[in-house]
Amino acid sequence: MNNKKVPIINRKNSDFAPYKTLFEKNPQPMWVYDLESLCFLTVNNAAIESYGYSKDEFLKMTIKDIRPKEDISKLLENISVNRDIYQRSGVWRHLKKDGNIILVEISSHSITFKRKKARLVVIHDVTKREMDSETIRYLASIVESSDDAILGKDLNGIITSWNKGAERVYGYTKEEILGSSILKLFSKENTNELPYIVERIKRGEIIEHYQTVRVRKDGQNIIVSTSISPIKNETGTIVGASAIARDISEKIKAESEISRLFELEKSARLKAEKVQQRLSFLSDASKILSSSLDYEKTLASVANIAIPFLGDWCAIDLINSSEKFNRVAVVHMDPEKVKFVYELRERLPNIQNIFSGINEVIKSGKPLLIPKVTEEFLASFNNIEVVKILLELGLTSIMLVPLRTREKVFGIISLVMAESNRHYDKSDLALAEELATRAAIAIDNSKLFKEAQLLNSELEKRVKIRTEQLETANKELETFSYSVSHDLKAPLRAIEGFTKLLLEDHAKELTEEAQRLLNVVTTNTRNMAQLIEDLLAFSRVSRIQMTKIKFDMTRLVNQVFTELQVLENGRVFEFKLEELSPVNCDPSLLRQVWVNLISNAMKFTRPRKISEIKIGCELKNEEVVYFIKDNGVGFDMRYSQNLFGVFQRLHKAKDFEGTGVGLALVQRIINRHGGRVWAEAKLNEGAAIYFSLLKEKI
Amino acid sequence: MMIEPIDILLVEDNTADQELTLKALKKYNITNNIFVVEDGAEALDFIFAEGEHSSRDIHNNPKIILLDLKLPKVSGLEVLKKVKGDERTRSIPVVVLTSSREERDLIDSYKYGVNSYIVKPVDFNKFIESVKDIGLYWMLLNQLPKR
Repeated sequence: MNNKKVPIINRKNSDFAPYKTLFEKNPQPMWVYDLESLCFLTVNNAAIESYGYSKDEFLKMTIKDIRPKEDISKLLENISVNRDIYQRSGVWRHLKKDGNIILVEISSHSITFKRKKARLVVIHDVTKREMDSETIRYLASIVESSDDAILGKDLNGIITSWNKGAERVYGYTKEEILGSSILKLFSKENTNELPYIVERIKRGEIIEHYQTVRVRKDGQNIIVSTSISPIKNETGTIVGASAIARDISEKIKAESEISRLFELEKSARLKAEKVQQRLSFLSDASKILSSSLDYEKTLASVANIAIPFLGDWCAIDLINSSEKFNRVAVVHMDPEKVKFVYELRERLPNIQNIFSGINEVIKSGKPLLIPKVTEEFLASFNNIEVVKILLELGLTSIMLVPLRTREKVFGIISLVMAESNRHYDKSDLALAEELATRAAIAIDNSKLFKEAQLLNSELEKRVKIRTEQLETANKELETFSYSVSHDLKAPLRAIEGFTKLLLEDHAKELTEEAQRLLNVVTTNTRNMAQLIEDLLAFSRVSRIQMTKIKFDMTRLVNQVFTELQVLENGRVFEFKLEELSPVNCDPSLLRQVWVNLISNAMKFTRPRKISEIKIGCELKNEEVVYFIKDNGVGFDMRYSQNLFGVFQRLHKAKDFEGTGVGLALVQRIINRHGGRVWAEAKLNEGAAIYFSLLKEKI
Repeated sequence: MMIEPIDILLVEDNTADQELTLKALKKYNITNNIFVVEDGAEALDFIFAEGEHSSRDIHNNPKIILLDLKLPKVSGLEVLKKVKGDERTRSIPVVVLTSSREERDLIDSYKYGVNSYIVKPVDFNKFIESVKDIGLYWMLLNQLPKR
């Protein structure tokens, strides 16, 4: 178009007929609008077709009506500013009748149309073109902003494009890497991958999620998951490849960490379960061991629970006193096999000679662990028959654990793995040893218990025999004292009687000296008679049955004192009697006690002008302590241990009469009641005798 | 052959005691018709007119029996039991005269019906006193039932 055409417009219509057709039929939408009113003055067919309005509709509209509202101000500004005859106004947005927006490139000419200043507008629809470049820009930004490394390369492996992600993943900037071979990213071990990849790309194949190792700029190996696709040009020829790679090193590390932790957890759980199993096994074993004192039976039960937990076989042997093995238990799930082993035992009685390990265990007291039954192990047996049998049984692992008490090994627990094909380790051995220790303790206990039982019954027998002997002795003593009282006194009576008859009937025939001597005989006879009486009383105290009751002790003591006082004519007594607590005791024996104690006090206070006797009691925890104190001649405490012995006297007979039985009798009575007697005294300063009786005891 | 009635039967194996008892009785003029046997068996024969004494009239009972407990052959307690267990002899007063202070003897004696229990004292004077007491009491004061 040039400016020369402008005057033509002003020519007669007929002259312009071909131009009109050019306008009407032009494939580009065209119209003329009034610069004043902005009304459409005319539109061509293409415009009608593109925008969807009819010609009449157009002619009632202004150019503002085909613009989105927001673009109108820009439109008006453009119109007011640009008054060039020909003008390219760039890309605008136009609104079609159906509401869709199209992108158009506008060029316009100033014309006079029907005497109005107007502009002829040619519309070029660039919507598609604009949209395509928009897409490309968008895709490029996606590629650029992707976290994954995205790169392009030609078929020679030269890198042609490189995104930000690639920079991050591999450490090279775009500038550094473009034009370099892709091999720069391969580790030495992986260079052989390239021909293979190229081969596949050339065939148009896509390689998806291929995991391999690449090298970063800093030399660090990374694991990437990469997908490689061929790039085709417009004609469909493969010219290169694009690769998307993701660094999965961390992910793999994390995954392996997770699986490692999972494994750890699993093994810890298994370990805990195993420990739990072992503990419950040991606790079961302990229960069985403590359930019976018949240890052979007990051991058999232990062997029973050991299978199958602790092996396929369990045998327990005890060494008897003659160093021979005594098999107390063999356990296997299959009774036929047990039978077989028992038979084997009979055929081979000296198993310890065949397998030296048994002797070692017995000798050292240390367990033997054979984790794996090897051919060398089998070869160590010097008996081909045994080896055959062992092979037949299919033993895989063996433990021999000694049963020992204190220093001595007295048996062996043999645990064997066979068909279950398990092998023993140190922890199994520890468990077996623990089991053996518990079994040994249980056996030791039962042995001790049996011994104790034996001793006990022996003791009971002895006690019974002794009791019988004692009863016999007691009877003999009774007979003896009976005859003493009877027979010993008879000759005394004769001596006394006949001496008296001599003195009375034959006094005239006797000299005075003869009479005195006969009187000495009489006195001594009476003394002896008294001794016999006291001795009998003493022995009677031990023999008679006690009847313990509670009675008024104060009254008893008062009675005894009164009775004895009568015999001590002309003496002055100052008798103090406190309230005495009653206890359970035999009244007649206690009477004897008080008679002896009070008469002693009276006897030994005889030299005093006023005889002071005080009787009382004190309450101690479990007992009542009675006492009798006097102001008599007392005694030397050095001899106090003799005080309570039979016939023991601390005074001369000519000073104080007596047989020395009184306090011995007191002691015997109090001892029979479970009490004690003791004395406190000083020579010439009086004496105190104490005795205790248990409270509230029958 | 004993025809005369017996006043006192003394059962005592110890000859010294026999003599002392007799002397004690004599001191109080109780000397007539005392018969002495030295063991339990003979005492029973005499009392029940058996064996050696079968010719004796069982109805002519002694007025009193002085019985030692410890005797050969048959014990004093056995004799006492038989005498007191028999209708014919039950009424004869029996005085046990013994050395025993054993309570058991005393209890048994009373259980079998003894009339008196005297422990022989060693002291001769006391012995005489005892004998006098029983002698006077049973011989003079105690009237036997008339047959």
